[in-house]
Amino acid sequence: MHVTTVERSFEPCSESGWYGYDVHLSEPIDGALIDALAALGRLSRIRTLKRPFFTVRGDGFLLRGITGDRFLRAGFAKKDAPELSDILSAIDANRDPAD
Amino acid sequence: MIYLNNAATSYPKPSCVPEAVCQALFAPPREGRRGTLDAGSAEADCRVLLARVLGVKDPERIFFTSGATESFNLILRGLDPAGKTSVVTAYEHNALLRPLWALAGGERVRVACPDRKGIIAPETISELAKDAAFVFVNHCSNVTGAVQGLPALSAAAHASGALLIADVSQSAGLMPLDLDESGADIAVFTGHKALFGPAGTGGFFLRKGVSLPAAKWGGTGTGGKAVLSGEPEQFEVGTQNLSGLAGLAMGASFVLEIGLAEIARTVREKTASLRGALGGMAGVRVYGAPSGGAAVAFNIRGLSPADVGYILLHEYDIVVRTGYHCAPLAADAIGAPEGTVRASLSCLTMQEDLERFLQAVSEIAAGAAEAARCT
Repeated sequence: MHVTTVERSFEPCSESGWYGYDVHLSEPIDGALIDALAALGRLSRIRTLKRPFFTVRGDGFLLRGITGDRFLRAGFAKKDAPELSDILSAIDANRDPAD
Repeated sequence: MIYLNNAATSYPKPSCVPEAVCQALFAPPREGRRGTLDAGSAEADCRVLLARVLGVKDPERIFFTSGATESFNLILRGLDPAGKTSVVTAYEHNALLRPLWALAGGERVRVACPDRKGIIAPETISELAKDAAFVFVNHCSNVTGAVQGLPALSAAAHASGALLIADVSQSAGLMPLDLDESGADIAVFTGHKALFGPAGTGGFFLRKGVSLPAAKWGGTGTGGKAVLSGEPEQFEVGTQNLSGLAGLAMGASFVLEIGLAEIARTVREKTASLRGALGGMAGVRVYGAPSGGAAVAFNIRGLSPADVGYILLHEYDIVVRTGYHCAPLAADAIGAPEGTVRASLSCLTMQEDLERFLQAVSEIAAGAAEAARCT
C-alpha cells in the first residue's frame, strides 16, 4: 500500500479551525495500516459497524477512516499541516515490498 | 443517498423549479423595466408570489438580491452600524455576524441568549436594547430549529427606539409568515432553502417608511436621465438574475400550492418524531427544545460531530452537516461548544429515509458505547 494522492478536503474542518486533507491510498485500509497509524497518537475504534471506523488523534492533528476505504481524512490545526509528512511516512513504512 | 442537509440548501428541488429555470433561459428575456416585451416578467411574478409566502400585502416592498448574505451586507452598509449599539441573538448566522463585525466591530454588539426552551424572551431584548439602534433576530434557528416570536420582540425593540431586522431564511417557505403584522422593519430571506429556489436568489422585505440608504448603484431601467436615482429600485441595480427568479417563483408557487400551514404541520411532526427518537437513544444528546423549525442538533457520546458526519456519509450514504453551522454563537448558547451534528428536513423528506437515518445513528451510538467500554 502506498499514498497515491493527497488533496485538500472539502470537509468543513476549517470551519472548526482545522484544515482537512484527503489521503488516497493504493489499497483498501486494513488492520496493519491502522496499527501503523496508531503509533502516531491515540487510537479509537468502533468495531461493531459493518466496516470498522477508526480515529487517531495526536497533538495538532487527527486521522479518521473506515476499514476497506481507499482513502482517509486528515485534519490539522495548522494550515501548513506540519504533521502530514510523518503520517505519509507511517503509511509508506507499512508498504508491502512487492507494492 | 439520503439528504438531511436542507437547512443548508434544499434537495431535491421540485422538478418544476429546474424546468422553470431552463424555460427562462430559452425564452426571450422579459425584464420588467428594461424591455418592450409585455408584462409577465420573472421578477414581477416572483415578487407577487413571495409576497404571499412572506405575508406582505405590497409586493413592491420586496427586493431581490443574491441571497441572505448580500441582503445583510447591503442593509448594514445602508444602516451604517459603526459607532452604534446592536443587539443580536445567539442564533444569528455568519451572513449577519461577519458583515456586522466587519463594519461595526464587536465592542458595541450585545448578544441575547435564549432560555432553556431556546426562546429569546422579550424582556431580554428590552434589557439589552436600551440605547441600541438595531436588534437582529434570527426567526428560525438553522441549528436547533427554535422559532422566535417576532411581534413581541419587535415591540421590545421599538420600545427602545431600535429597528428590528429579522432573518427569515429558514422559515420562509417552511411555515406561514406575516411580515406585515410581525413588526419587523426589515426581513431578510434566501431562496434556496425551504422556498426550493436556485442558489443565488433571495432578498429582503423593507417596511414602507423605514429609511435604508442605498449601498450599491447602477442601472435600474427607471429614473430617466437622472444619474443618481433615489427610487426603491436602487436596491436592484444591474441586470437581474431572471432565470434564478423564474426558478424561485416556481418554488414559491410549489409551497403555496401545498399550503404553508400543511408544510409546517408535516415538517413539525416529522421533526418532533426525529427529535424524540434521537433523544431516546443511549449516548445521544439532542439540543434545544421541540419547536417549529426543521433542524435537529445532536451529538453522540465519545465521537466528535465530524466523526459522526464522516461515518454517516461514508458508511451509510447519509448527508448531514457537522460543526458550528455558520452560527458560531449558538454552539455555546445551547451547551455544545464543540459543535453538533445537524439533521435538517424539507417537506419532501421521506419517512423511510428518516427511519434509515435513525437506524444508522443507533448503530453508531451503540458502537461508540462499546468502544468506550473496551478502552
